Amino acid sequence: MSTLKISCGAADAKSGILLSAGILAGCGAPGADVMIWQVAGKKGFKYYESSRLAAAMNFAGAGRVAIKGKSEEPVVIYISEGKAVAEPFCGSSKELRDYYVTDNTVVLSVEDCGLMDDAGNICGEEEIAAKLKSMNICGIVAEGSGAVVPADAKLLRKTIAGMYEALDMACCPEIEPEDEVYLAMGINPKAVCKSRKYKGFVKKLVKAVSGEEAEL
Amino acid sequence: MMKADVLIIGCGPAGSCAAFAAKKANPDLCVVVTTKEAHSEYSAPALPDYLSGEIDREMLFVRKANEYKKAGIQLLSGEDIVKIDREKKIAVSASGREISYGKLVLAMGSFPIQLRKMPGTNLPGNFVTKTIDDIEAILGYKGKSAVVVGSGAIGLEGSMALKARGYDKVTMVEALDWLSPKSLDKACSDKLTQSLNSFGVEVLAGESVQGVEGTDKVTGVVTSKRTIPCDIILWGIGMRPEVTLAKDAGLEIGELGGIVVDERMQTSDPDIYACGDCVQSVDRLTGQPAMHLFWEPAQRGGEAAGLNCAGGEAIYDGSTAIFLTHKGGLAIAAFGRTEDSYKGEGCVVLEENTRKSYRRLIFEKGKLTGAQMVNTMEDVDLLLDQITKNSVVRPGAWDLSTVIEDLEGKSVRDCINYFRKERRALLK
Amino acid sequence: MKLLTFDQSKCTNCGACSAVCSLEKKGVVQPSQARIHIKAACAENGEKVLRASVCQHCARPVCVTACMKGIVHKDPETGFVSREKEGCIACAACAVMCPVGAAVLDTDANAFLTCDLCGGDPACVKVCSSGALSYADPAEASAAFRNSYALKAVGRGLVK
Repeated sequence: MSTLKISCGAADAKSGILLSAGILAGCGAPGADVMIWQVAGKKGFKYYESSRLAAAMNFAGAGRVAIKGKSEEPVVIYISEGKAVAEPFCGSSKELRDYYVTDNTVVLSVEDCGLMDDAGNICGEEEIAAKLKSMNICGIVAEGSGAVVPADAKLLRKTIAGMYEALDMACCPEIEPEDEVYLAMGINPKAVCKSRKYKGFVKKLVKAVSGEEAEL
Repeated sequence: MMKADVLIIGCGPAGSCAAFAAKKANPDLCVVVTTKEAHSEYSAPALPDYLSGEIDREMLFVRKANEYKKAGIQLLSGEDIVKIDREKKIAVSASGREISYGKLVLAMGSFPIQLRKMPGTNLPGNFVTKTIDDIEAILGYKGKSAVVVGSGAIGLEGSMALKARGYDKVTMVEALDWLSPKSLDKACSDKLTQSLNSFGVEVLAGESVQGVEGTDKVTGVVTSKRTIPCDIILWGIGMRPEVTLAKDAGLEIGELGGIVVDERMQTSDPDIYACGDCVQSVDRLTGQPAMHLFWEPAQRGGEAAGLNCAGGEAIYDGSTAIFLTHKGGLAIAAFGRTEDSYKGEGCVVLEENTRKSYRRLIFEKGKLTGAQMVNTMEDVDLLLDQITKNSVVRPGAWDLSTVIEDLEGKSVRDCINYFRKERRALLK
Repeated sequence: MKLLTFDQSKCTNCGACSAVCSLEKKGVVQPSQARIHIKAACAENGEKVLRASVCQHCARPVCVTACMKGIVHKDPETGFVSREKEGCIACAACAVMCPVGAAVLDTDANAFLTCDLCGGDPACVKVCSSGALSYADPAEASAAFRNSYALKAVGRGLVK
């Protein structure tokens, strides 16, 4: 008997997993694709960074998805058009990817070491993978052809342009392997940040995307 | 008598492009275009959208009458040329008008096949969708249920359009075993059928139309398996090149029924060129003679014909047949060879069923030779590029083909990933 | 005529170009609707190959002859390939025949659209922090690329 419950929006996350994309995921600013995972445990929540699932969730109109309970059969959590549903899926990780991947869809398969995306990148850790497996979830998919609608598009454009200008990666210095992660997020760790306004940027981003003042 | 340096018969994409190309190449030329219709160039492919109500009549036109005037091209509408005197170089219209020409371009296009000998096909309620007048005839006829005969682009788009127009019941009838078997394999046809069903179109394949019922108008269609009551029949069973004029004038007609032209669009008469649906040309993938009754070959061939008439040097190197329908949520594309065409010998097929779409790739000796896709157009550029490069039409040309040595256990996405990686062009 | 040029060796696949293109053209962040897409392919050795899918304003554009409404034009002087605002019937001929898959079905206009270089000040170039995208004369960009490639080959230059 499946006890899996999925809900979107301002969700209760006392147990199970809360996938939370945050309001800035997918807004276009450098590094704005990552997200925080929360896994409920006895000592509270653990946080993990993730891949472009966050941005895709916001494009799919469901930035917060809470899952608890356990499914009787292996399922994939499919997030699209403001909803998250559990779809039965039986097959290998490769078959999962072949079935769900499109140009705009982020597909994460649950492996032993974490969650793997289409390009072979691993995010999360063994613990979260184990938790998902115990719930009989074999994959998480977000259909990202939708939009993040900013409250103030002009301010967003200006802020993003300013942020990229501040990064200024005109010449490519030597890259260390771990730096590749930052590079993939659009941030060169070795670049000189030309502007001290970086903190201010986050406040502007929040205002531009949500229309509200940020409490930082 | 009217004198034209370049006389063009037909004002579809081929004739119209020929006219503008000739005039642009040599503005001093007197360029005259005749069309038996009352309209200047319009888009026949857009007719289903007019039928469905998505666009209005104005949106159909590609070039309005005043554009011809502005370019200095004389457009004679409602003028049906019925005879060409090659010796005197004079064209004669049904109204008795005579036009002498320096160069002549034949762009009469094609006409839809209608089974005139079958009883009932001449009754009111029988329709085709070739011209604006055809569509307006359908719009002016009161109907609630339709039978669409044929499953090519005309049948597919016609069905979708009638549904959008408010027809309660639309049934597509295809005589062959599955839909468009020359372009699609059965598995792809099944997916297409599912898609059509989801839009409310019923599909009957392997069933041929034997007769039409009705006394003073259409009331039903009799197939090899049943009788289907209906108000209208939309015939989409194929097009034939309109070559009567050329035949009567003694020009060479090819084995496929089109006017024979060389790569400069010149016919067997050095002063006469031809372009568009009425010509026989070459298939880029096979190198064999082919008829390509599509928009893009018509425009490109028309441009070449017009340029050459004006003393230019343009080559038309044939075309690749692309089966494409994209209308109201129905999306299907196919090109290259089908699995069925191999008759069980020597091809490997990879299929992909995703949550929303279906694709299949056909390989011969590790080279991609065909592709079909339903509900997606992703990666179509890579696939068309591969299939084109893998064809062996030009002897002596560089071998740009990509071979996937071992297809065992590979998915469609694996192959596409490989093609994308291997594609060297466009590196800046 | 200046075009968008892409140096794949510098691209980090950060997605800024697509995000900003949609923001610029549609006022929302919707990369799926952007007129530039970076597509990745993985080799067996893990090496990534990145390709930019964006209008190349081809010398002999197939889209011009493929368009079944005749609304795609190539400017004879500048070479710029443009589309009329009205008239697209979304037949997808341009999308299927474009050699780089640059045509995008815009859901607001219900028309296939391509990169119009933002009127000469492309937004994507401004946010490409690695310098993979630039707005340059293709011949000059090609020469610069070949030059840096040659320098690398003989062991000079900054990037390993």
